[in-house]
Amino acid sequence: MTTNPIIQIINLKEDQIEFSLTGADTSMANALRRIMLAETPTMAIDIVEIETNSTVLHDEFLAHRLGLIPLAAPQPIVEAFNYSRDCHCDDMCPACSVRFDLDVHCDEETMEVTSRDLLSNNGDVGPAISATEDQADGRGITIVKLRQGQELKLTAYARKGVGKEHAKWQPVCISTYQFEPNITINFALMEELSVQQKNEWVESCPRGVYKMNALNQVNVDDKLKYAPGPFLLSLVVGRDIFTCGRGELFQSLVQGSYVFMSGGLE
Amino acid sequence: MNKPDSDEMFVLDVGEKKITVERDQRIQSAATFNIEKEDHTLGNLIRMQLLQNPAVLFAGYKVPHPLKYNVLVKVQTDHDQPIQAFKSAVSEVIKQTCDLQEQFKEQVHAHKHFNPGAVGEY
Repeated sequence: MTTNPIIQIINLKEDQIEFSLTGADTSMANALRRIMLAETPTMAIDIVEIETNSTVLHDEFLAHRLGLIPLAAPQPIVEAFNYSRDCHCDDMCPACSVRFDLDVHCDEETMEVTSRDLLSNNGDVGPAISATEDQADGRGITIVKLRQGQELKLTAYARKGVGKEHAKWQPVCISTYQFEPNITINFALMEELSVQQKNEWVESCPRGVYKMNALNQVNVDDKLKYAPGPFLLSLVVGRDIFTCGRGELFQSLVQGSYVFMSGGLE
Repeated sequence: MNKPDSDEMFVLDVGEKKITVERDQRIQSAATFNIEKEDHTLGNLIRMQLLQNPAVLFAGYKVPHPLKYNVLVKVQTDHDQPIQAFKSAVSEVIKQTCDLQEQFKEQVHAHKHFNPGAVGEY
């Protein structure tokens, strides 16, 4: 007895995706979520060789920050890289790592060292730039701030890894799923309310799930806003409707259907 | 000195086998599978698939210790072939995930077609 799972993309942007999964078990949905977070390989800075550091942050602090900088690389490129432990080379080579050079010296009063100052030896892999910040004067991620006379010179090597090993390799900021709500409004009872009471009821939902239509009937506007996920949230929704006095007016059933939302860089 | 390798969560040790079976001493039709370097991601998935099989009387999994990266899956069937049941559960899961992957790829292509430039690379 197996039903075939079906995926349907609802929304696809450069850095965010929303899709629905039907006909699958919770274990499949959860496995997908866990894998998206922890077992999808990405590139991140892993080895840092510091030549000069007269900044206010100590060496390992800087290395930690560099590791957390998200590196953008197309998936086929990441897949083509070897894991360092599997690579035929001894230490580091272009087949398993990307080299970044950083060489800054502060000549003015102050200076901000950002991810834009990292120079990559591989054109395909570089510090990620948020979609909202992709202008010539976009600053990039701050690594450290320098005062006049301070300098920082280092070489960093980015390697392939997965989120399980260290969070810096986690490809997404969030990966969540919720059960797809199936809300049915008890129209017979709803008709007993006056128009004003109906309006109050629609307004009592803090997430804007319901809407009044032209015939003064209450309809579900966007069921995905229902989001009974966190227990506390569902209590809030329930309480407001009960405050309005008519909790029996709606009923929400959760089916074996999940809506995923996954995104990064924000 | 005491710190384990950061990749010991998913890289097999030298001489370690990915999966081993132990047939139950007292019950003929039960067996326990030990899968190394895996966690709930796989354990729960296989267990739920086993439960879909009507010939399976019992299916359960556990992660014996959170600091050790292995999963135990115990199966009992009504026909003395727990290994067979396990194999077919795994095949079914692989089939479903491959199918999902194909569907996803098609959908991404379709989306790209309608909004070129709005989507990154896949």
